[in-house]
Amino acid sequence: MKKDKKMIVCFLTPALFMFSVIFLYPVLRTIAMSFFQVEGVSDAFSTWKFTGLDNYITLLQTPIFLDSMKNMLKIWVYGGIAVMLVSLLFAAILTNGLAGKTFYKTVIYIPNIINAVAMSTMWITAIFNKRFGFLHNFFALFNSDLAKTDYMSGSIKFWSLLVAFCFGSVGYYMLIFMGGIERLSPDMYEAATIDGASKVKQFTRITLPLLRGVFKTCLTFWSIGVVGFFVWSQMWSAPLASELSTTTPFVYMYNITFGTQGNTFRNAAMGAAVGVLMAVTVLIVFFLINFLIKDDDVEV
Amino acid sequence: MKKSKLLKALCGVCAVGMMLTACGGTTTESTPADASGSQAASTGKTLTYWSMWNSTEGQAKVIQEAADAYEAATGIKINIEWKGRDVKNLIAPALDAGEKIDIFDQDYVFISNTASKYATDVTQMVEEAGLEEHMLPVLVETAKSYNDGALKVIPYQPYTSGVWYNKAMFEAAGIENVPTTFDELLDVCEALKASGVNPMTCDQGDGTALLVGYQLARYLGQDGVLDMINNAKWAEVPEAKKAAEDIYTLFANGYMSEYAPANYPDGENELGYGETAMLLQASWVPNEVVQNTGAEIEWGFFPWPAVEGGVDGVEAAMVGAQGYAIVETSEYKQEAFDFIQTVVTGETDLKMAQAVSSIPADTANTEWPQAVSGAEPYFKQMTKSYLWAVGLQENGNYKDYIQEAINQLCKMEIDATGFIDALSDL
Repeated sequence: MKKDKKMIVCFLTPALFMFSVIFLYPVLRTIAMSFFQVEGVSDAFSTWKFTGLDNYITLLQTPIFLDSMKNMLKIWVYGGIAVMLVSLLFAAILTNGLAGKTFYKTVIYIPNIINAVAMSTMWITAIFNKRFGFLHNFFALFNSDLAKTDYMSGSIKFWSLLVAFCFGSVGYYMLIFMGGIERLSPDMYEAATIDGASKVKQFTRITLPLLRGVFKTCLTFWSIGVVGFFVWSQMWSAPLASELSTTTPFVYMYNITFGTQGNTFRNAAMGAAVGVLMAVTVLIVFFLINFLIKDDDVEV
Repeated sequence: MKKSKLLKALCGVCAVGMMLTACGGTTTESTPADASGSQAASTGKTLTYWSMWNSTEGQAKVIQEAADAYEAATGIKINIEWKGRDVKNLIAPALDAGEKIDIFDQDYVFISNTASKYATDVTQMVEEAGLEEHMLPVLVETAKSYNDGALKVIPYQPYTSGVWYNKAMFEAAGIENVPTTFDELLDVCEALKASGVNPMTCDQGDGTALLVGYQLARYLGQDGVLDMINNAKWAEVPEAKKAAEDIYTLFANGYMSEYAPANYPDGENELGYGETAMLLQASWVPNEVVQNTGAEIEWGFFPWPAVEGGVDGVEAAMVGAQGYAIVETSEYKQEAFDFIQTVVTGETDLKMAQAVSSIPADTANTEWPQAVSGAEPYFKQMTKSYLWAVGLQENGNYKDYIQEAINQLCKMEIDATGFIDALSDL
């Protein structure tokens, strides 16, 4: 087939142009801004004052930023373990010839197509509300003291946030795992069954080792998602701009870049530095995952 | 072959079109209403106004009517873009990018401070129009303090704060006078508790911050609170511990609802459900409670009481307002000012106050909506204004720790000593 180069140029030029203007330019500007002193995001370059690495040094000495990083790490570790395990479990069950597979798959995936604001509002009002939420009513049936638990304040607030967020994430990773499992050859399972291997053995000895590549993909997506954690945190701290137990680096970045109701101080350069640090964090995690998890070495 | 080229061209145009469409905003623009009666001939001038309201809000409806009336009277069109509260984040980049905007509104301190470089100095226009005598002095002074005496904002829809209470519950409990000291407040709480209602409630976040902030400011004054926060002197200021003990007492004695501090807006809604008698909050609360619960309450108001040996009394309160800014680069500054004047004074101002039960901005409008009328005498005698959350949210790197300690204190997870220790350790 003859390649029509004019056609390629015709379609690629607008896309490349838009990519450069809308994506590349802001990225480069943000990186540059993080080495200057800048108040507002749109301040003219002539007003910028070069400060070198000062923003990064200050940031790494700012307790609230470090605490937001700790929250992010907790979400990544605890949430990651929970989401990956549950997703894998559902994927294993649904790829095992279960009747009504499509129905269950759809039901589990549905939270992913609902807006995060709507999802969090549902959790906050319908599940966690301490007067009429589901958990309150459920425990009240048994006259349990747990009915009085306040899921939306104190130390438990972070965990209520994590549970709600993870609930919405399971379907997405389950689909990826299902895709990975379904591409494995049924011959291997057939042979294993003839050899007397139980379903559990087949899963641990065949499925899991052959899903390494899929795990790598899932962990990368999970890391990107957690680093960009913002909306759920905002919903959990409303009407405040942020709260210590649920703040994340992007929430801090938003507050410092645009100011808050009670604090009009803005530092766009510091916000840019947070953005750059987060991008670097994702890259480090990506390289670590690639280094630690080798690709599938068995041809399927 | 020709067809193929045409197809390619069409595909290219569609692709670019789709990209550009995707880049478009979701702003709701106003549509001019049918103006009845005589209409001035169009001057061809159009003013662009980026509004902090959403088109469905009560304030928006009143502003839209005012814009239509202004167009009918002058032939100048006001093109309102309902941006919502995000105008705070959008306005600076838009103006820096050369967007033609003539008017925007936001919190009046935000305009006076953060966005002042984009705002025109309206001191002279205000003076020539005699507008200052219609403006609340405490707001004008605060606004001017950010710009060396220059006024860069025209405040409207002011708010105050204090304790909003259900008059019927006070009467049922046999309470005849509102408390003026903290000890009297405790007595009132005791009487209300004995009458079988929750004396008080609060929402976590701004609600609890106000409780602790007010009590601290009554002991120390606004400057004292800021000094303590900015210099981390919590352990060195005995009044800080005393204020924390006072607030802890309200919870420990059972004067607060069992749900307090509640997740917003569950706390304030307790007043609407007739479960609780009092709430410390800003003057938008009566309207919010009515909107949320449909309750018909006869609202009373008293300022947060004074404390023994304190710096401030009932003459000090957290007050604020929204404000209008005329963009420095606008070609139609005077026209923008004239329009703003029609909104912040006279009939439109009164209409807005009644639409959302808020305080009229125009001092000549002496008839306050019933829900907030209890605050009127105190508001007019007020001589000192507190910052938002009484300054507890002033320090961006520190505010979340203060709020965390306040949350723990109000949940009685820590006592006053623990509260001071938590903040001294920072």
